[in-house]
Amino acid sequence: MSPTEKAPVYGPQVKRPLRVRVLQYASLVLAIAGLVLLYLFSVNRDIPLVKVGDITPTMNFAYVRIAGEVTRDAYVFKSGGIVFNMKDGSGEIAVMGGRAQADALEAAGKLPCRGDQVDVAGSLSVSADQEVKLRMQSAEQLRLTRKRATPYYAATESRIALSDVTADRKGDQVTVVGTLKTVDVPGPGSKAPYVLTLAEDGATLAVIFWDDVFQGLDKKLPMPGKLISARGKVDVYKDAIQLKVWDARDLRVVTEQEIKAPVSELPLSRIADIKAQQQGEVFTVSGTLGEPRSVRGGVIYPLMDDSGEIAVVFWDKQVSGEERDTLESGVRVRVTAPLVIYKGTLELVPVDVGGFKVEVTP
Amino acid sequence: MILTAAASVLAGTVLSCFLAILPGLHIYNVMGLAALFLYSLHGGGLAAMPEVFIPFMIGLVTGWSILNTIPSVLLGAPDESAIFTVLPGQKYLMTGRGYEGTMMIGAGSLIGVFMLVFIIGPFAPKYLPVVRTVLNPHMHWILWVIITFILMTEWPKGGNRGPAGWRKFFDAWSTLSAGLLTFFLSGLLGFILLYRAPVDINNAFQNIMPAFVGLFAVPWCLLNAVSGTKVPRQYLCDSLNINGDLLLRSGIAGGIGGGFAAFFPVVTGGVGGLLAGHATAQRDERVFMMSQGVSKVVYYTGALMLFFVPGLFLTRGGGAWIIKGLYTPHTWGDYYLALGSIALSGAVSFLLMSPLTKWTLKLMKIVDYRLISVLALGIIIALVFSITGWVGLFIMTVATGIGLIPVLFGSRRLNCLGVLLLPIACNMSGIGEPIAAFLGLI
Repeated sequence: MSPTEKAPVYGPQVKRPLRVRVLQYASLVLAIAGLVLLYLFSVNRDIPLVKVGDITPTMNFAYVRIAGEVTRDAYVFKSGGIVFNMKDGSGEIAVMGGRAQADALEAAGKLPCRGDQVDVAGSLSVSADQEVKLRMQSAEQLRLTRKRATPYYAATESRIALSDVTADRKGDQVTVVGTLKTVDVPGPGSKAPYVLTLAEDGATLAVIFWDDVFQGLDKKLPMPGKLISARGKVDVYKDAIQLKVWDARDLRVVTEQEIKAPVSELPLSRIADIKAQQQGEVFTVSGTLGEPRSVRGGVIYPLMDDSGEIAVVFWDKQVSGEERDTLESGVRVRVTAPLVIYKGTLELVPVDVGGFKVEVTP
Repeated sequence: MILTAAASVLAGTVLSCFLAILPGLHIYNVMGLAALFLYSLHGGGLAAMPEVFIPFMIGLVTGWSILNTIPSVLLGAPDESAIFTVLPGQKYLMTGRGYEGTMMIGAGSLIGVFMLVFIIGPFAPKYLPVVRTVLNPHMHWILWVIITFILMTEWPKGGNRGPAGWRKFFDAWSTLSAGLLTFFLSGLLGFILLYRAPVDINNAFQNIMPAFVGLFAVPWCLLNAVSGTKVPRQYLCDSLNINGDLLLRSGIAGGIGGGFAAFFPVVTGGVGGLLAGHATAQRDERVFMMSQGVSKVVYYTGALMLFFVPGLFLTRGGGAWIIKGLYTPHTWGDYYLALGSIALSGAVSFLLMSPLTKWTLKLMKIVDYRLISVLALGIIIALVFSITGWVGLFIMTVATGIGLIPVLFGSRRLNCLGVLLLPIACNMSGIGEPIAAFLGLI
């Protein structure tokens, strides 16, 4: 006879007494169901976007998103961590990550550089007397839009021939164009630079740069045979003339057509002909603006021509509200801008006020 | 200034007396509330001086870590760091020696304060930064060893009798399985809270609080509220059946366990107590009980003390994290202030221990302690709601479901610490991100 059978019974005896074990299993089911609901609740919430200036000490450990512009190039520590700074108009914040995040960003060529637009999620670290930090938990949660170079043909320096790059020009900032002959990549762990050898009309020039520029190129080097535009400082090293490039935006693949035509004369593209695969390329499109839609940090206009429609994004930091004062629905504009893909949508993003021109007002 | 600091320590210690008596109420919850108050002062253009609020906070933590022995022995309601004192403490209570048991653990706590102020305190600034540098690259695997130890030291409580077969097998494994399940469910909860905490971001600094309350405090309050144990007549005594040898042994064991918990990330006082318990795996229950008292104080107060050690830059324990949002220690003066506050608060708390224990015993005669548990439960729920709102209550409810599993199945409640141990150990080993991605959290 078990101890429970000895116990006195209160009230009328039920036919099948409820076993305690049933209640135990019920509690298990309850715990698991609760956890599932909490999980569903959590994953279906958007990570809140906050402004740096609005961060308070009670937000320590909060998992948030911050969108803005990178103000300091990403630095990868020898110990494996990564840090870069960004601002969003209300303040500046340091974004940090561990070895895993640094490795992932480096492998994907997504190390943020100054001027890039980032949208990054992470956990806030707020301490008294110390700068607020955002700790990335995953490289996947960093969305990066590279700041595209101002096309070389719009640069202040005029292009010079390779044969004109002599030792006399040491220290000068110049822009050259040449056909890529060879690519020298430094070995693992080496501090040697990357070397691209350009050729033009029989003359050659070594264009050198280091890993930060390589990262800025999304870790993609051009193939030999391509026409390359490079902007940098002339230097002489061991009696050899070379061009040192410090910014990824100063190194790009160009076409014969681009070299010959000034920006205003770039051939017009039909919107329907612009494809996602051409991401990063600069297009000139002429069309009529539709109703604008405000987004945080900018405004998006639909631009329509006979063939289709494309979004044109004006970021406040690149084209201020005053500069785009003339834009409104119905205005016919000519936009010259690099193609950006955001969540599968094709967007033209003018890098500055020179990226668009009003042709006809309604 | 000295008088201001001393008055603040005393105020914190006296407040902790009342808070410690309430079963299930954790001091970090109250500190969180105090921090919110201080933030609102700052927001309103007023600022409390660090010389006022730091001693006050230290007084709260030190006083509470010593005096919460009273409910853990007399009311059977420990926080997670005092879990192991319940069984032997209950034994003392049920034999009418609750006062003696409480004072014995209190003696251990006093030893803990002595160790902090006179042994660890003077040497910490010189040696702990070196220890930290040496151990830093090894933290991840040490955490996994601790997790393994916690899981492996769960023992089967059934399956001893009856014919061999599946029934006996399942009987033996039900406790173990419940322990493992508790660990992994709390670990999953920890992942959710770490990567996608649903608590409002404006109060995110307390986002783990509802989970801890649900995992540890609520199940005990519920259990106490429904249990019908009649407490026998209690006797008071003038002397404790301990000597210097027993105190020394308990001090060493508890100091190592508590010190380990204070120094290593996410290792809490409960784990420190487990280590101390195994270090004193003995025949002498008195050493065990006192070592738990030492471990508890060294963990809670020691972790806070480490925050002030010059050159160490270590933030361990909820108390230090809360203070970190308000103040960053810069000087040796801060360290001396912290040590002095710990010493003063420790002394006052131990002096208050005897009258408070007697008062609690009297209270238990007048008021049904189940009523005290219900009252405490109400206060805890109100606290969670006031800081984290409905979402916090939801998290607390889910955590309560998990926290009830070990209570109902008779497994060890320490497994609930998976809420911190599992995600942090995974993160430190570099596998947290893939797991979070697999779970769809990032």
